[in-house]
Amino acid sequence: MKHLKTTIYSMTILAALVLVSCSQGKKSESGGHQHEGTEMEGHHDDGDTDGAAHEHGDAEEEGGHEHGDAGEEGGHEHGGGEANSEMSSIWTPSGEGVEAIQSDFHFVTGSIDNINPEIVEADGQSVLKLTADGTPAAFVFHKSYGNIGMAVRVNITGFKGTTKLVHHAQNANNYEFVSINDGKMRLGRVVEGEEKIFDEADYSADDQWINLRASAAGTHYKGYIGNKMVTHGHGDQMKDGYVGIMLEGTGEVQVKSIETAILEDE
Amino acid sequence: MVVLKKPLIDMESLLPEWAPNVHPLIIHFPIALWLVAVFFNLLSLLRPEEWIRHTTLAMYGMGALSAVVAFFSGKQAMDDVYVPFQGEMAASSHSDWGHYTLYFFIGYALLHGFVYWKKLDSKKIVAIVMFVLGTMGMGLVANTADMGGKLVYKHGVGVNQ
Repeated sequence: MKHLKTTIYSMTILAALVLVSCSQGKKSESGGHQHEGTEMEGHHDDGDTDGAAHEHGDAEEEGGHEHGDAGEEGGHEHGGGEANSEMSSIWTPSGEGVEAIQSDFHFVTGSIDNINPEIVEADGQSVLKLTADGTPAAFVFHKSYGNIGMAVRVNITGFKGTTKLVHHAQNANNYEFVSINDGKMRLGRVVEGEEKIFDEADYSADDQWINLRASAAGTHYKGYIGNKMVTHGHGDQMKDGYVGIMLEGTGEVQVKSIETAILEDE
Repeated sequence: MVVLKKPLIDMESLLPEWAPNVHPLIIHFPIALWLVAVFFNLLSLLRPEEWIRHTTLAMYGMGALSAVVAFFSGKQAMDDVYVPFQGEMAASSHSDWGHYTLYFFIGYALLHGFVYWKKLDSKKIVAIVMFVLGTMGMGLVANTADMGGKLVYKHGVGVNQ
């Protein structure tokens, strides 16, 4: 009798725990928002460093046209194109350089004079050409984000210095970043002007155009070149902030697109 | 000059062609072993026989050991695979829950060993508490597996890479 009671209690507890686990799974399943923009990410990430340049070229062209159209209607479309959802958007340059930067971005450090933006044609598509004068300059989108993914198709072969993808940026002294400089990627954050590096590693890229990616998911931070993760670090979650590009150096940087994706809790 | 010896067995060559890394092959061991351990734990409550106590302890111990292996293989896998943006939160959660599960399994296995050694489980209340704690481990591993499943089946991580 005693054994029977114990069994019943134990089975009830076991069943309750299993049910709780299962219902949590279902809850997050139904709450999860299927992201449409992953297709777009796929195009961007394909073959950046893996030698699949042809495939990527095609994908880029498609993306370029789509966004070119969107851009004609609304100037510098942030989030244009049908593959974008509220969760993901891709900015592509169009129109005139100074206007493109001024309408879609603001500076957390430096100014437009420090990067001299121009829109030029490269590989049949519009490219944002920035000529940095050595003064650190960071331009960020107007909207602030928490958990975020960011991918920038960039050519830094004419640039001497550090190119940073910044996110959770409050101001010039408080932000998180993934930076590349001379074959080295660093991942870290600046708090009250003090830099803390979470991870750093060497990378190599075969192509002039690289897809530099950064992600901040909870307390996990990563930096990618194309599909390859180069850096991975951990730190406390920072307050929501702006995302954008920071240049510290001199020379020419070209940007084909900037993708931002809000990372939703699972 | 340092000459690195070639390993006798190239571990990667032992992987099936479809497997992106060793993690998916290992990960089912802690799940299965812990489940069997909980089953034997329940059995030991009903029939407190020595061989069932031994088996329960052995299963929890092996469950914890396999969790250590699964954890490190997962850590390596996470750095190797490509994760799309929308999978990053699942990857982050999977990793976090993997940590919690590992710490719990090791802590619980040590505690269970201590209870077994001191024969504290001869008291019914202790045996029941240990069983309840063991089942909680199933909850942790279920959450970790849920996130891992989402990574693969929802976001396609580690598939066709």
